[in-house]
Amino acid sequence: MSTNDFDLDQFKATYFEECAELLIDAETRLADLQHNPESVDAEDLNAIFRVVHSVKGGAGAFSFDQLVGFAHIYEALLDRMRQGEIQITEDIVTLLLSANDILTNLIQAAQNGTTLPEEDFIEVKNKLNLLAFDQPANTSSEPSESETVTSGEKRVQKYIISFIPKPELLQHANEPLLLVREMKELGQLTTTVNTDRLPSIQKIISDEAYFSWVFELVSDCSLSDVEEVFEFVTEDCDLEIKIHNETEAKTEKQEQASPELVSESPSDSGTKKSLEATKQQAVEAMQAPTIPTPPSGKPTPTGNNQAPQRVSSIRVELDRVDRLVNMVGELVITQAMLRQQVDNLPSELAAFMAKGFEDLGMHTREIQESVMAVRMQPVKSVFARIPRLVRELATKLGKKVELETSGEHTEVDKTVIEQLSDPLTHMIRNSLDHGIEETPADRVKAGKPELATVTLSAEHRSGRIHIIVTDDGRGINRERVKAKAIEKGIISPDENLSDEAIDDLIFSPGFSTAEEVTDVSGRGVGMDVVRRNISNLGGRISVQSTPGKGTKFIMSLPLTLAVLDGMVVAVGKEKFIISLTAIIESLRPTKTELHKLSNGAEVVALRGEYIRLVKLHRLFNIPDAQRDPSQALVVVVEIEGGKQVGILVDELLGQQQVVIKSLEENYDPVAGISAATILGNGMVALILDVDGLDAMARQASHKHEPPEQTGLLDTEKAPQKIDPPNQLKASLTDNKSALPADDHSEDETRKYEVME
Amino acid sequence: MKLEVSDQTATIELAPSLDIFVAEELLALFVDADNQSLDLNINAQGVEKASTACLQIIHSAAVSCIEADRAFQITEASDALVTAFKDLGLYSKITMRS
Repeated sequence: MSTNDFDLDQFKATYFEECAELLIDAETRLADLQHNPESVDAEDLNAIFRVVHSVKGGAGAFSFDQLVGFAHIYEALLDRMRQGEIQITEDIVTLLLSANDILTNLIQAAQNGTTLPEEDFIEVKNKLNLLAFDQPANTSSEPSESETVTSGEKRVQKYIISFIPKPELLQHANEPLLLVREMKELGQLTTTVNTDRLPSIQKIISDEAYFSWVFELVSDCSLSDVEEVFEFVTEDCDLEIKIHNETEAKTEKQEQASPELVSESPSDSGTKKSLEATKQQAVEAMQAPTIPTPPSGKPTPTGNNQAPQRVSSIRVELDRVDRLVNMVGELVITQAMLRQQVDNLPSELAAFMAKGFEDLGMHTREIQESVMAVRMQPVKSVFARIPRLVRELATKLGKKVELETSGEHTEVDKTVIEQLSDPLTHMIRNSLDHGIEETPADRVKAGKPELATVTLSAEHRSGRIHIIVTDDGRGINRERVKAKAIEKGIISPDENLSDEAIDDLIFSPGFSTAEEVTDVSGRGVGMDVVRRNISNLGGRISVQSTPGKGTKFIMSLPLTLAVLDGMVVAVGKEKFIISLTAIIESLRPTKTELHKLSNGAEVVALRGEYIRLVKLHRLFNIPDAQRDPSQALVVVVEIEGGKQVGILVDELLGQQQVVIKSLEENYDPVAGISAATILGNGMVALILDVDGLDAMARQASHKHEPPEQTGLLDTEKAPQKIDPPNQLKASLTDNKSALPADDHSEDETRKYEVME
Repeated sequence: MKLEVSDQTATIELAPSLDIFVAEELLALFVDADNQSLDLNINAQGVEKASTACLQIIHSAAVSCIEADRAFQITEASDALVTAFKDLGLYSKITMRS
């Protein structure tokens, strides 16, 4: 039985995965309802109904009775709402939000193999019951047959449903019994089974579907209600749903293709005749080994479109996609390798091959982009969990908070999405716990509305995704932050930090200004972990705060962790990759454009701005590199906060798409390096982390900074701190003193210091 | 579930959960009984849950028995099994004693 248990677990895992996706959809739509209860989109209600319906269906298959019971009531209320029987008010929307939370908890409990205490949700359940069935929860909520069939106002119809499962229907975790039982809930059902396809016991395959059915359903429900019963099996069966009292039978497809079906006034004889004819057609259809022939007189659908064409997506295991991505990565490397080899061919041959390689390159890129697009997902899946988090935290903290979101449809690679949830949750927790004022009254005192606003947004910027969490709270209390940092020994008391640097202290390990440890934000050990996790992803996080007005966290992440459009640069004999999205321009500065600061840092003057130079050969101890910036090239890149730095390289070797190989996974994290790649010649090249390089360069110059000087010099502030004669001298001297190839950067640094 | 043979009759006590995951096991028992040309007596007292996959197998076993002129019966069928047979439209097709 162990194999069977394993199989069951697989199905359950799929169910819970689907539940997670469905709940995200419901949560998103409920958030829409919450914002605009007056102008409700009917499709939103229908979609939420389908979510609950699907959760219930799956739960039934796995006998999650508690979940089924609750989903049934929740679904019933949604059904009444979408029928327009219940007006949507703010209270109702609040109830739906609570119901959705409970549904989530029940799914979680089912996943953990436990149940929820009834008292945890009885109140909401009772409210749902009252609205859905006009009765409290302890009375039966199952609709009786008479209720269903004899509705005074609604028109009772007879549906003839021909349901011919394909052999694989059962293998796809579909269960006809559940469909039958669902139809029984809609009205009076008569079932006729056809067993003609059933083989002998020696030939039968245990999980293939052989039975087929004709159902007669008498109900006041709509055609779409009946269709909904079968909505998850349409791919695995041949299905015809006809309304008995209409001469022109309605099939799903025809209804879509030709909505102008003609109705015939029902007469007894006509009805019987029609029923017999329909039955006959259905039976014939069931007995046919393949797709049933359309009844005569009906327009034949053009082309081979008998099967419903509504499903436009399929579920694929991520492992399969990852394998594909890896193989495309190898393809990119192989293509680069071939291209490099072609360069070594005689010129006529190379020219002959050039066109082919151009095409190959184009196709490879297209394949790569297509494959990457498969893994791209909107951040909606992460954002959708946040409203609930905000609701729960706000209640727990006694604060009034409204969440506004934008950019939910911004797409990012699934690998990034997976890593996004934890840091985002932490940022939101921080905003609510520390950012927003203690009480609504405190906000009023500060001249703000009682209702605090937390904004969560996503956008693409410079080939990266920016996730921004903003609150309109009290902002960072810099005095307190600084005092705490001194108390914890993170900084020394005499350190003179800029506002930005003080704000940045909240990312220090073990830092917390909370007077009391709360169960919301924990012990303040989170923000450093958040920064580290984001950094491991090739991302960065920064904070901007205005006291009394609020705080903004900006998280910037790469769109994908798989490939990168890069510029291959050479420094000495080493090759590095710089992300193309970071590069602004490259230039060879003249000597007069080069200046040196008193702390040892060098800058290049560019159109009236001073840009800090990052010397790779010095940071990485690379011999044989061009040390004179006026003889080398400066690649100007944009770093966090829109600032620019110039990376000094020997030459630019060309653009290339590279496959990212994680250093964290394959080696160890290296400062200034975000990842590695394999070049066409099979050599490993390192991908530069421009922000990391800037930090390294700052640290390097910080070491040379005289004690009396203030902190690190921002490039924007550079002009005020430059001593032109010294800079010129330094630059010229630097130029004159070409160091030996095996010289160490420390020696070089010492020489600079002496020269100053 | 296991096959107990006595006087050319195989008795099978059905599992409480006759879901698709036990269908293969159930089929193996019926094939075994068929290979030995045994009459079949199915005890369905403990069935709490049924599936189409298992009902198909039971029905096929029944038809195979009847065609081979062997006896087939389901005894003490639980409500869950009876309901499942009814729901699938099979109730009238085989003899049940409850």
